[in-house]
Amino acid sequence: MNTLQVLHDDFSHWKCTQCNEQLVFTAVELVYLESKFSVELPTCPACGYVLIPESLATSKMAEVEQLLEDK
Amino acid sequence: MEQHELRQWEAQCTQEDAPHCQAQCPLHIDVRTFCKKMAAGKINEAWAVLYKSMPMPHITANICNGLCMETCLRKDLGGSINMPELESYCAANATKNPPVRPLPSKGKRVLIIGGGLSALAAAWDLAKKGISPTILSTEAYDDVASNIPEKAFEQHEQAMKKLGVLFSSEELPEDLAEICTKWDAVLLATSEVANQYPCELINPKTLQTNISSVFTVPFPCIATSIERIALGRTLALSAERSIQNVSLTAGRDTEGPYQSRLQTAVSSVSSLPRLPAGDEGYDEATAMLEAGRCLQCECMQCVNNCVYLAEFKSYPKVYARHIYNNAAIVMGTRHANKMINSCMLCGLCEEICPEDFAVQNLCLTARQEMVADSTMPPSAHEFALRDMAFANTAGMLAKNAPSASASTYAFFPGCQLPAISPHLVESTYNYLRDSLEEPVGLFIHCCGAPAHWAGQKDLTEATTRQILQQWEIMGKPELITGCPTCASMFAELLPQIPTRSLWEVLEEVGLPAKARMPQQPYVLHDPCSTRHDEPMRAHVRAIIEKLAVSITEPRLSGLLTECCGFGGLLDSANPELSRKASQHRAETLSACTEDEQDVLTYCAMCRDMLARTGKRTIHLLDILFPNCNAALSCCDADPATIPVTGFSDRRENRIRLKEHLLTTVWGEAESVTKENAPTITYTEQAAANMEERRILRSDIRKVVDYVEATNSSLFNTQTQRNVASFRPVGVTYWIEYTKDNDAYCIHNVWSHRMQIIPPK
Ligand code: SF4
Ligand code: SF4
Ligand code: SF4
Ligand SMILES: [Zn+2]
Repeated sequence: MNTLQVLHDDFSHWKCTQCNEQLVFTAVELVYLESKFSVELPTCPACGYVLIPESLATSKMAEVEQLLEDK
Repeated sequence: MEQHELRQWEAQCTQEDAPHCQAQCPLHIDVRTFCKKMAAGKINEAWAVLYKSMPMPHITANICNGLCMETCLRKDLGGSINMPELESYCAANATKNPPVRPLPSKGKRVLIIGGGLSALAAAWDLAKKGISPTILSTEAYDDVASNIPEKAFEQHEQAMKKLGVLFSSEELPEDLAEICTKWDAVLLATSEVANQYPCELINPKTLQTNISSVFTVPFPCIATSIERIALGRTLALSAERSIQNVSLTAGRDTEGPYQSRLQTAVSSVSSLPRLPAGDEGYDEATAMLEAGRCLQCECMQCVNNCVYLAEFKSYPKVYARHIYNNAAIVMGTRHANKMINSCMLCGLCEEICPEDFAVQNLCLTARQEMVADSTMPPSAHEFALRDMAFANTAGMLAKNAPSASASTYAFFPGCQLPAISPHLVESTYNYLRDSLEEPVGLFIHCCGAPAHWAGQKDLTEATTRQILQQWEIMGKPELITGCPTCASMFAELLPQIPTRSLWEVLEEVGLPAKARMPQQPYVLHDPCSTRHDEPMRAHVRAIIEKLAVSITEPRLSGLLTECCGFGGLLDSANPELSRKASQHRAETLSACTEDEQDVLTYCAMCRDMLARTGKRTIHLLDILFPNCNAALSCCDADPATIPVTGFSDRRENRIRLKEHLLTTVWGEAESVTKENAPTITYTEQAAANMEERRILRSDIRKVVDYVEATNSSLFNTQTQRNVASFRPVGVTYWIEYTKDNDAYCIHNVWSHRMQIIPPK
């Protein structure tokens, strides 16, 4: 599976509060209605907490959800 | 949907039927397109329209006597469109003849005996189809030439030459049987020659004679020029079919003039007089104006009156096909999902359509099929169905009258009135208990309409089963329905439960003394669920009259009322279109009077849907029960100014009402264990996003609880704000917040349906 690059901003100022680690881009799986994608997202390297920023959720992700729903 | 069902649906919509002029014209000229091009001054394009469907257009366009004018819908609105003059203007002024391209030769030959219009027309049509015609006549043009301008005649001759039409001046043959052996078909094109040969016309439709390859015009033949041209066309078609050895009769019902089913609404069309032609015919400007009088007849009556049908830019015949194709897709994108889920299921189309096309049935069945095949997009109705589930659990209340063990009546306010105006449920219930002698229970539950509209048959059934059980437990009371949708759902889904509308009961027991004296008059909005409930509409009007409130009826009311934008769960499946629909209804209501009047309605949902457009709207109960109750978040304000109830408030109102009534009416305060949960506040932006993104305060509470329990979140060191998420079921909710002394301030919220599988 190709890993998609969807975010291009810098997320180095984000931290995981529990682990006190800086978020780093990591390949994460997104699943919806029997479809899977591998996407690079800012993630806590210790506990795996993944950040989905608002802009991603309301634009790209919403579009893909819609497409999959109409499949 | 099966293919034959699609055919039935398609056949019901007449939008693609020919306009009456075209149906009446023996050659079925596309009058609409011709007029459109002429009106736009596109003479050559108009000429191409004639060229396509007229045999020997240079002649025909100059001698047509306008049979179409008999049926033109302009006839009584200023006079039929003057097609003969327009056609000859077009023929004289076109500067480009479309190319004449006969089909490849089929190696067949037809002998046409006799000249004149029928012969020439038959020859033209046959030659175009690759069958070689020979006209046997010395006077082929005798009755035509004098009526045709010289230039047109020259052009006609050139075209006939290109087509390869042959003329012969040989003697008329004597032995018909013998000629038949030499030619593939023989046409007797004039009455005189028809009379001369020993054969008999046996089928006036196909013009076949007792000799199978001989076709003839009738004898005697009384026909106008255009009819003679049409006879020629029929001769040619029959000859072609007999040569190809296919059915002579199949599919020829609409060959001559016929009655079209197309119905065009002309009641709002104003009269416009026909433009006279001078001795030389029309000049360009007059021709354009005359052509511009064409109404461009079409049906589209449903589309012109339904925001939804207009939104998808087509009409029901086409929608039926889209829906059929949508279901047939195995791989690929289903383009019609949104369309199927956007119908308000209000049934106005069926009332308006001259053929009773019920788009709501088409769409509801399609939804039920999608649910059954698991192709219904989860996002379309999930929010509304969750709301229904809430109304039927936490928000549900079913009690007999205090100290009664069974109820004779039970007030059934539905699920929206308790959510939007809980104080009106309280006052109405109290009033009913005071006014009716037998015990009146209270039954707050959703009627199942959302499940029904979502195409969820199982869920609908489960809901009605619950209602039935509860109703039996309460001693089978007569239900007094407060919501018009509930009333229609009960009639359809639970006919065994006796119901009466609140309005009928109020009319009977008398109105409360303390009605609010409203400013008048009002525009009355009938909810679309009352379309077929004439009694309910009458009871409402009777109450209004008793109150001495004067009302205006809008253009579309009663049987023809429009949906407020909520029906069919449109607001869930397509919020943007839902807004448009509300706006459209508000505008119809505004348009019926000169000065803005407030709207009066009797459905809680309609009230909120119209109010969100800015239209001042009140519920009839607002007039009947002006008493305010602060405990039920009623603020005693002018009811027309009360803002629309948000999604979270609706839920909280239900709970508040339930607790309040349990305490005040039944004296059984539910022990609400208030834990020391952190307080949550919202910025204005967050609150607005929650409403738009349909995220509830209870969803946010779940994220906060999760943060409290796990202590996990993310932190943005630049903004100094935290972000956290939680996924209760099918949706992940995100909050952006700051925390101060255990109090959460929510700055933003968003959500998505995709699930995140974190790295191992
Ligand atoms: S208005 Fe136009 S389309 Fe309608 S019947 Fe008359 S000519 Fe035909
Ligand atoms: S049911 Fe209502 S919304 Fe649906 S097509 Fe008919 S008129 Fe339009
Ligand atoms: S009203 Fe609508 S559905 Fe009915 S015939 Fe006309 S276009 Fe077709
Ligand atoms: Zn972590």
